[in-house]
Amino acid sequence: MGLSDLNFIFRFLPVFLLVYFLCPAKYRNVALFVASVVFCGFGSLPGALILLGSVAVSYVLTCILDCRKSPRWRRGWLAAAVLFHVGVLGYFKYMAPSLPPGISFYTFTLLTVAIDVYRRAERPPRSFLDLGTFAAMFPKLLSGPITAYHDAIEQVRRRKVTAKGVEYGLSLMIVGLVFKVIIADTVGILWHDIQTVGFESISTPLAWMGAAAYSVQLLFDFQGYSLMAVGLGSMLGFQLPRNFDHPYRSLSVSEYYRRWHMSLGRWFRDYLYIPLGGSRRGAARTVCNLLVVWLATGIWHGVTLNFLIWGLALGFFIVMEKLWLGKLLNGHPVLGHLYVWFLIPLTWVVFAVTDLGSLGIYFTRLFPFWGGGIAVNPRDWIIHGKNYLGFFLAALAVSCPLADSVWKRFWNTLAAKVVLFALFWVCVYRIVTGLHNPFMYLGF
Amino acid sequence: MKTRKHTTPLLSALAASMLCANLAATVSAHGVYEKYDTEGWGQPVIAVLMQGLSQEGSLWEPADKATGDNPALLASSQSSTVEIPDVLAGQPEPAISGSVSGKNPSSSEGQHGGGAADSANPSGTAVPQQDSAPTGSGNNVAGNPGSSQRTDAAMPGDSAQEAGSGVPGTTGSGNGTAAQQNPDPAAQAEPKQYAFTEVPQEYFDDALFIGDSRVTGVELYSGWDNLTYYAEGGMTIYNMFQSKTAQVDGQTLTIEEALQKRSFGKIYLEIGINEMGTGNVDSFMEAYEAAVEHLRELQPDAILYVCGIMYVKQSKSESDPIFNNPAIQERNDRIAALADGESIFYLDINEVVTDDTGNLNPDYTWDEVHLLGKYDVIWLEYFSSHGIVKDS
Repeated sequence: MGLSDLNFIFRFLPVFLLVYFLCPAKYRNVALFVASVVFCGFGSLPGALILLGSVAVSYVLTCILDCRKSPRWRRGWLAAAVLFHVGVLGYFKYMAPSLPPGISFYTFTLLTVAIDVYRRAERPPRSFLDLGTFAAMFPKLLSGPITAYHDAIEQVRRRKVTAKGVEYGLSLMIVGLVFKVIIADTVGILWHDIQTVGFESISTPLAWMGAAAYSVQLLFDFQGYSLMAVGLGSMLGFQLPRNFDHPYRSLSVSEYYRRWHMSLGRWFRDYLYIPLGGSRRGAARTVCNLLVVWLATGIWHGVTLNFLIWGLALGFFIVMEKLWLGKLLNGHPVLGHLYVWFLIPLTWVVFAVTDLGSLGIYFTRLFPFWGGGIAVNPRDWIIHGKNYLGFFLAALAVSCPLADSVWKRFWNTLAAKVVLFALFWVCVYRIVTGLHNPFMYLGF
Repeated sequence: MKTRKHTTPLLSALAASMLCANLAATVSAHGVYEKYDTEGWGQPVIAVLMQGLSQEGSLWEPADKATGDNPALLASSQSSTVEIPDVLAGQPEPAISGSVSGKNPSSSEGQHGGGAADSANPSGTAVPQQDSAPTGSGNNVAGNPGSSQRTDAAMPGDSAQEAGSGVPGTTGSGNGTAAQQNPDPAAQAEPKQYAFTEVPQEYFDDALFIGDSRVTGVELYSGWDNLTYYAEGGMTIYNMFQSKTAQVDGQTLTIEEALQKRSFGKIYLEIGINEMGTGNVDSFMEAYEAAVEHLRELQPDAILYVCGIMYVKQSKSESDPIFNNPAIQERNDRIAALADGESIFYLDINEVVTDDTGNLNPDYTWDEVHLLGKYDVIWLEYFSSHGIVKDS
């Protein structure tokens, strides 16, 4: 059950909100935790048990870790916690036949608990319920945002549900739903059609349109999900961190990944890059650290070779930028934008096409210098593309800075509420009658 | 205008509207939209209302609004199909012989009795033309793996034997009806019977290929542009004539209008997969026969080729309650029974696109339903080896 499923919107959420708003503040964590486990159980019953098991083990290990005074013992128990979580994640991600819902995300969340307590950045959780509520809350369970323990645990202990927070959260949720259902799912049809035709037979313009379509689909799918999660959090009184900050406004790949899936980027920075020494130990060590982080990012997404290539390619460009390219790009904004808009969709193609043979064929269609192509129709990009122009333009429009200021200024007006109300029902209609995919990041 | 501080107008409005919509949906799910209530508790009742509004609305909308690629076929895993099992069940089964004359029992016997040799020449009137016709091999796109699999079967009914992926026991009814109503075509003597032969690419200069997204693929990727294509993703037998896909003299017309303006020597009709989630075999065939009849009225001189629905990949066939090969074969049997060997001929692409399991060859498809672009030419190569040439 994803956040854009009808069963979630029309059954789970209304019932949960009713219970949550009506029950006294001190019981809200119980309601949220139980609802989260039920939510997880709807997706997969064993998944819910794995979630409960992970939280329980994490709770026990963190408590033991906190009791120990000797640094050696503390390190030992930290290592035990890290090994346990990484081992469970590794097993389910790379060996088990199916991935339990949200495991990549809540495992990283639980890792922050052990590390933060080890660093004494935060007190250990007061109760199993506190930890469970923090790690498993259903808005962010399936695909984040990944919250660091020291950032978010205070909200589990104390938070306030306000009318404005509820309205703001609901508005964000509807915007997220629109991003997902109207933009991502529609543009995604183009990418689907390209695969149906087969990469050998697409023209070069269509290959580029496909790269753009997949990039837009992934952005609006994941950004839409993240907005829904943050919106739901706001309705429940939480302030979850934003996950996207208009990545395509970046001037470099490094900047792009400070704006894309920000919570994962921050996690790798705080819990891997900086502990490795960050950029403080000389150029060679910095380059090495960056590559390690990006290799880990690739592996986190999947074990197939394309994800490793994807991660290492990004690592390569980020290293180049760190060494000399960054100054050039930041000094020439037009060049920087062109560089990002050219390079990033190519990296998403690598991300999207898991089979290396097919990936090779796709690149020969993107860059047809060596011929290739079977039964190519040079006009196919017009025929396939004409239905999507409006959606590409809509994606562009809501990504421009003007959209931000319009949203900030008008989101709480009656006019905006009328529009959002209408859009909500359009989305519901589209979910029922149109092509509707599960969120793409549910697979990671 | 800012809304007041301690109110939640959006939440209240949404909650109220959801309540009302759910009430309306519950009422309609037990009333006018009952037939869309296919998943029971598996989906919120609102889905029934939306599905009903969308489907019933489309009955009155112009066809160009009502069509669009069938999501069920585009999304391999997330099909949002509607099954309407008894939509026309109350109506009597149409008499198949009413729509075409001179039924050829070969089509049914060939599928069920294994009488391929008989069915090739059931009435003794077939004209053996294979040797005299020029071959079409020079027109084939080089390097097409499909061409090597082509069979030269010349009888309209032999296809299902090869495809044989488990034909349901009920499929014989339509053919049986046809055979019974035309116990002895030879006795009727009048209609001349023809047999398939190899034809060159020029044969298709005056040919029209009508169909759904699978034909769109042929149009875009076969590389054969001497045919005329009236094809659209999501086209169904129900909306076919209203589909605004025909380019005539720079204008975009409906197929109905276009067929009144232009005449064709051959018409190939490939349609039927999008309809599988709607109605049942009888309601489908009723519409199909009416469409064939109407095509005959509009283009009385054209040779009409009715094509069997192409199979889907094994994994889809085995997992999909609607789009599966036994169900497709059930419809194909009925379509095949329309062939009369004289002006209507049945072609079954499954002869050349299936693997040895009898399902769509997995190498030929990515989405389990459509051929990859590089294999779309198989359709036309198959047509080339199954042409009918009439002496004029």
